[in-house]
Amino acid sequence: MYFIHKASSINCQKAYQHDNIFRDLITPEDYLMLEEVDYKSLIPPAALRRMSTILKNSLCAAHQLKTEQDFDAIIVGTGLGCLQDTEKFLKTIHISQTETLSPTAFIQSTHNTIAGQISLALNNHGYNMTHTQHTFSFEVALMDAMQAVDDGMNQVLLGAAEEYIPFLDRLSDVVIPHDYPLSQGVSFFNISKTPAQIGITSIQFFNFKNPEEIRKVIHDTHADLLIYNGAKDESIHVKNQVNISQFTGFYLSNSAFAMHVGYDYLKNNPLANKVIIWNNLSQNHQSILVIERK
Amino acid sequence: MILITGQGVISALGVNVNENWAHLQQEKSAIKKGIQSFSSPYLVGQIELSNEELKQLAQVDGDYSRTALLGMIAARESFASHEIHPEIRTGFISGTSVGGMDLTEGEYKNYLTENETDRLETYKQHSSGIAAYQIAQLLGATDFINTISTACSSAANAIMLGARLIENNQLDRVIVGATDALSLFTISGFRSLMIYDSEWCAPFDERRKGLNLGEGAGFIVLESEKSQKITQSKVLGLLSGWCNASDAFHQTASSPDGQGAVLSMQGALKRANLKPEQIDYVNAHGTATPNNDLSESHALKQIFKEIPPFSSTKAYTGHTLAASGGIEAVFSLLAIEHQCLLPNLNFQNPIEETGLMPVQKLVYEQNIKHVLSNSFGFGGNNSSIIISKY
Repeated sequence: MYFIHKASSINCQKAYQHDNIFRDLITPEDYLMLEEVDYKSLIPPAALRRMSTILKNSLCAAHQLKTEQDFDAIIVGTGLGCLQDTEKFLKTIHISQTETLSPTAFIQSTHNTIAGQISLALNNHGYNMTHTQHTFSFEVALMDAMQAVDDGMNQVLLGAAEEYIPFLDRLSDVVIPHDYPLSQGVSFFNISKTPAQIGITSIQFFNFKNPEEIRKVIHDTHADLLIYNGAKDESIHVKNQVNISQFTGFYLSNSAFAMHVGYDYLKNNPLANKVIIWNNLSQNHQSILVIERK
Repeated sequence: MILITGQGVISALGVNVNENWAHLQQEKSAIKKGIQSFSSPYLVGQIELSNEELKQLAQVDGDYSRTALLGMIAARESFASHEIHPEIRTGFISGTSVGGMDLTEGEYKNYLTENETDRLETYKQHSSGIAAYQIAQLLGATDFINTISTACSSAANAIMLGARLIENNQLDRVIVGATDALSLFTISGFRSLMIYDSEWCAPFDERRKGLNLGEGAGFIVLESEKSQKITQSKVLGLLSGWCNASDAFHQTASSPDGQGAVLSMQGALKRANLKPEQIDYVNAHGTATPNNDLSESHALKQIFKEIPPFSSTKAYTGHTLAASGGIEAVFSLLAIEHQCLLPNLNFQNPIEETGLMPVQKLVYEQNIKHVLSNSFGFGGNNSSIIISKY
């Protein structure tokens, strides 16, 4: 079994170190306005100055989930990775006339900077992995976390992170059609085989599959709450439904925040037992994640 | 037992396994002056085919990044003797560090310097997971699709994840490896770090100055015994060990004593249930950067009382970043098939501090049962796999 021991998110909701997130979800006025976090108490100032938004937030969330035991694995999923530094380095190489280029942006542009920086901050020598699979980036990382637990790793830090840059607005209609404004956020979890109140039951992937198959799985699950992030499906009859993108805005791994909200919902609603997180951002690639009271 | 039942590779040495093997036997580097405008000032391991020519080779048409096209060619070769079967859950796990950057960087230049005349459609190929969807769909291997992005250890990590998914009975068969195209972004990146050699790279040599980048893709097919009974595919070798560990020393540099590398090699040996002296050949990471080769040498000395024959094949192909562990997994299989040791080209003098001598000539008639292959990436991401004779 895979139990969720703790969760930590930073995005436009009131989520960081809060309880009852589900109850307090609000449609934000500004999807890009991140919840204020005291970075300085967790990250040394010299390092903080060089860090992009995605790195700062991921490190804060990871610090929040630290336990006395070292993590056996640090597993991160990200759809587009460290965009601020990627764009910065692109600008440098196209515009800079000088022979010497500053390497900082390049160093921090790779997707695995996030998991790498966490391992550095925590002085962690364990399994360190970074997944990127467009709208599935969180789910494939979660799949790896489940394998890690099955392989005998007991303390797994699992997270997903996404960063906004203004350039993305230009691509809004052509490249990334979406119903809610572009935004950003990170969500991290402690996953362990040590029993806790709420656990992950299953994750199923549907690549290039018929929507009927997916509807059937959702109906057969009999969940108390369905959280999805793409288009509403009128033929799905689950009484309690939430579109998480309405609250987070659109970013590729916002289903990670959906799991945080589902976890929080089960914690605070003792009569509820099961939540489905249906990632339907993409038409061709959808997944169904079930979390449950154990 | 994880069986290896397919292999495919494209690199500067050639567009398939046979061409790569033929070129390896010539003991000549394929690194030369770049032919694209951004690569022309540098020595690179490039595939001398345009994207249009690669599309013909991959038998596809449409918008694809070079990274995706290279991946299609190598992945398809690895899966050529296989078929999709309703009882066999087949997945595809790729790795990449640049994704669609080869296209993005060009469009972004138009945006910056040509009055925002960039073609927006092109950016659809940027997201690093897109190539995996395209390749998986081409092969019909869609039961699980994933991309690993841990810089230069991506392929090794994709191989490792595939093995774990088979072991944990999530998949029966999986195509694993990685792909990366040359880009201005990465050439400039390694130049900014002052570790791009303007001469031919010389792994494990005292006078080494840095790497030459290359491009390519390498994939292998992993299969459970149960699955292989159904497919009856030819077994090329076994994946007997794997491990990933974090160096947690520096974002780009390796620790002087190679702690992460020691942990990953130890872990792989333990998983394979092998003693260090049972390793017959080490295909080292050996990027030819001053830092990597020294750190890896120290790590090798800590693991092995007597250092087994070892070499870096990056002086042949250039450092193909994410793809390197996939390409080198195929080279490891070739070393087993032909019972030979692959040479470390351009070597003259050992590193003074460690004194290790790599294999310098291709030698046949060896007894190669177990090959250890190292892949170390940015972020202190260290991975080792062991491929064994079947």
